[in-house]
Amino acid sequence: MPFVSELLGRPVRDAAGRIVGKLTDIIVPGEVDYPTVRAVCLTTSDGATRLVPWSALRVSGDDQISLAQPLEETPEYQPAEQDLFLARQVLDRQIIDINGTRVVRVNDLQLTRTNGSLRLVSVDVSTPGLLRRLGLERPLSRLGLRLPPRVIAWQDINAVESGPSGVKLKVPREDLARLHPADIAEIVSQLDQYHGGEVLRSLDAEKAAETLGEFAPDLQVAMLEALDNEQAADILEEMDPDDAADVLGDMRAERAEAILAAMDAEEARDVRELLGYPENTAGGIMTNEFVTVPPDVTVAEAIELVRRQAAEVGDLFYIYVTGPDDRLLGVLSLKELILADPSARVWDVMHHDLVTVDVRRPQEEVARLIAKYNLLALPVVDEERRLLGIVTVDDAIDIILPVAWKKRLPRIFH
Amino acid sequence: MLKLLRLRLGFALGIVGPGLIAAMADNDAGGITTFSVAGATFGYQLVWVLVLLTVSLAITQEIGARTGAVTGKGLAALIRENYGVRTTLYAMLALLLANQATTVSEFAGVAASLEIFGVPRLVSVPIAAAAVWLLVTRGTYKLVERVFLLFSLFYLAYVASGVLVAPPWGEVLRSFVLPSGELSPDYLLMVVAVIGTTITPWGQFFVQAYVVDKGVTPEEYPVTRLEVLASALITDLISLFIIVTTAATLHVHGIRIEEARDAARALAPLAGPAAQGLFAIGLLNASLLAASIVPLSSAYAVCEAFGWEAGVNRSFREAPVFNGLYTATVAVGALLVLLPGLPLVGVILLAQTINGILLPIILIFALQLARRPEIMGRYATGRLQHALAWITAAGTISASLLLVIVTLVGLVLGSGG
Repeated sequence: MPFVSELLGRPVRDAAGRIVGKLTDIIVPGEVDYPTVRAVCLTTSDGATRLVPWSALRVSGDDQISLAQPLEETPEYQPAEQDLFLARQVLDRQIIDINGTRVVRVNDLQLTRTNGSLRLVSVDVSTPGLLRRLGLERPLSRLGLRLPPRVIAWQDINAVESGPSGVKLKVPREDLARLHPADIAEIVSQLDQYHGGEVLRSLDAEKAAETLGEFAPDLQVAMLEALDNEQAADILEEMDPDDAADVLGDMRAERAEAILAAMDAEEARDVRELLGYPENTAGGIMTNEFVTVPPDVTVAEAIELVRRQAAEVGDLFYIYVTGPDDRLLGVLSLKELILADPSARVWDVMHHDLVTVDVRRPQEEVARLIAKYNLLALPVVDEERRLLGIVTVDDAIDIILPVAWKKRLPRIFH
Repeated sequence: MLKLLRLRLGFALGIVGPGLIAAMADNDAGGITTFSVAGATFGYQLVWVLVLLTVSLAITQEIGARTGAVTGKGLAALIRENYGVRTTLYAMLALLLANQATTVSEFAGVAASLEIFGVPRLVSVPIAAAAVWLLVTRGTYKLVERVFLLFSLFYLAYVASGVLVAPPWGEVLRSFVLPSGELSPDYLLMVVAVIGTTITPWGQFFVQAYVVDKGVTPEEYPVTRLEVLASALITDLISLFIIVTTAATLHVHGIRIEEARDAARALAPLAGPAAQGLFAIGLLNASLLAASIVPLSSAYAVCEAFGWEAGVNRSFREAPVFNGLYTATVAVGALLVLLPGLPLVGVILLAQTINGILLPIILIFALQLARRPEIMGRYATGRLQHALAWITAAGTISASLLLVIVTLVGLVLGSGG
């Protein structure tokens, strides 16, 4: 199976056997899974480059490439917009491997002959591929040194980095979006900030928000720097307000203001409220999106109320029962609510003894309370026992465990 | 209006702070030693070289920073993408060799500095190597980096000393513009060493990688450019004062520098009897800082070029080449310094000379890449700057060639150095 690196630089002859030029690039359609070679770049001895359609070439049994007609009579190939120039745009560049969710460098490309045409099959990202480019593979293997080859099917390659215009996505964006946000985040964290921003921009706001949430705060800020205010606002609106507040809190004040101004007014208000609390306190880590019901309705009515509010809330663990002045009276878990007698009053089935934390208490205390009482969420109140927000268990875990495993800027200089 | 100005200043300072690391790390053991010896041996005859080099340093660092901001890629990646695997291999070999030499010189600096306090090198060097390796791989490096930077205030000692010793400023200023010197192997060796310690192969990779990691966009770049130029200026200003101080204290009395404690005497006008200790601490600090950065720089560059996993928080199994390369560079650097009877000052100078000879290889890649419109778009290097950069490269090459020729001629004619 021929490799692209072996084809590059090969002489192309005319019918009489004279060398017309050298093969300097190979063109394939970018949007096909296993594309056939459409054309090649031919560089003549005087430095001129011509695009020759594959149909105008003949490959003999001993791998000699020649033109079927004289060069002047050969039609010039017109490249389509999705065409990829393998040598210029793919070879030696970084690509995204979806299955491994890693960013790898193309060492070589593997072609196969099918019915007289050449088809691009896979990408060699292994060290043997490197050695082959250096002409060292055969001598080293004779010495007994065999390294495992690693090829990735071309079909699994999702994106190719190409030039200052950024990441060129080979297949429709839905494919990348089907990955779990943690995996997308893994890919993005291996790209530099510039191209990572490109990938984020290609996702819909909700997916982008989930992906962004996987990063460490400093990388979140860096990623958002690559977007304009509207795009950033769209993504932040999809995030839980406490996460959005964390990111905005780490940014420069004027940028944060600009993004807040571009956000939906109600979302912005929630976020601004959270920004008002000092970091590392219960107020600083809580979210102000939660579900409440009044104490004097029936369970059936309460379920209906919950249903109406649930769409706006992140996760639903507990339903808080509050009085008319927002004072916290009791709590029900979702399971308890569903299993309760529909005609019973909420006041009768709820828990009256609640664990709460004051909004000014340090975050470590919050985490300790959640751990001690095995809670999924802890309500945050002010001194009047008014419900201001809740801290969910995932935020508590972040306090207890270092953020070491979260996606960080990949280098030393941060 | 005032608020806008204050915001702008704050923004600029936020980026400038960490950038000083690059400037300070540039004045490593090699820098201190080279400029001390230059001043002691040749007086002010190398100042004109330094002046020209400052312009060159500013130009080449700016090219590296701009390329990083526009492409978002490191120099090694760009070489790989545009020149292919084989050429990349040669470039990486050159870088590895130069960085290994630099690492050796840093540990030589550690040994020399602690010998002033009477600590034998067999003790100081292994401990330093282990400490540097642990600090970097355990990730506490960042905190320690701040401590290093603080100790870098040490360089002000040279400025103070230079002022106190009251050198003939007229002569100093004249030496800025009047080239002097001889066509002797000694002088040319000094020239190549001065070049190699100012514009380093690793420095070229470092500035670009640093800008990429900071995520500087082309729009934000003008601030970074100021920082890069300021860093170059500060670095060479310190180098100038090292030359002035040693010239005024040592050269005038005909004192040559055989070991580090001789160089320490240049600080006597400022510190008197404490000059030795002050110098030792400063040299130790400079050596440790660079010993942390330089081996990392080559490991990252090589892995970036060949697509291997890299990262200080990756284990040996996750990133075998990266960790192996880094560890090997540190280990070999330390081991070579421990060779019995090694003249530390001589080794440091040799390392800078090696850097100077290998520099054109890396420079030419950097210059050519920054000129290409398909890579840099409208930010490609302008004709004047490109020409000046090429003059720098040509100057470096000629100095190295002259050195080789004159040395060979001297050997052939039987006359010593």
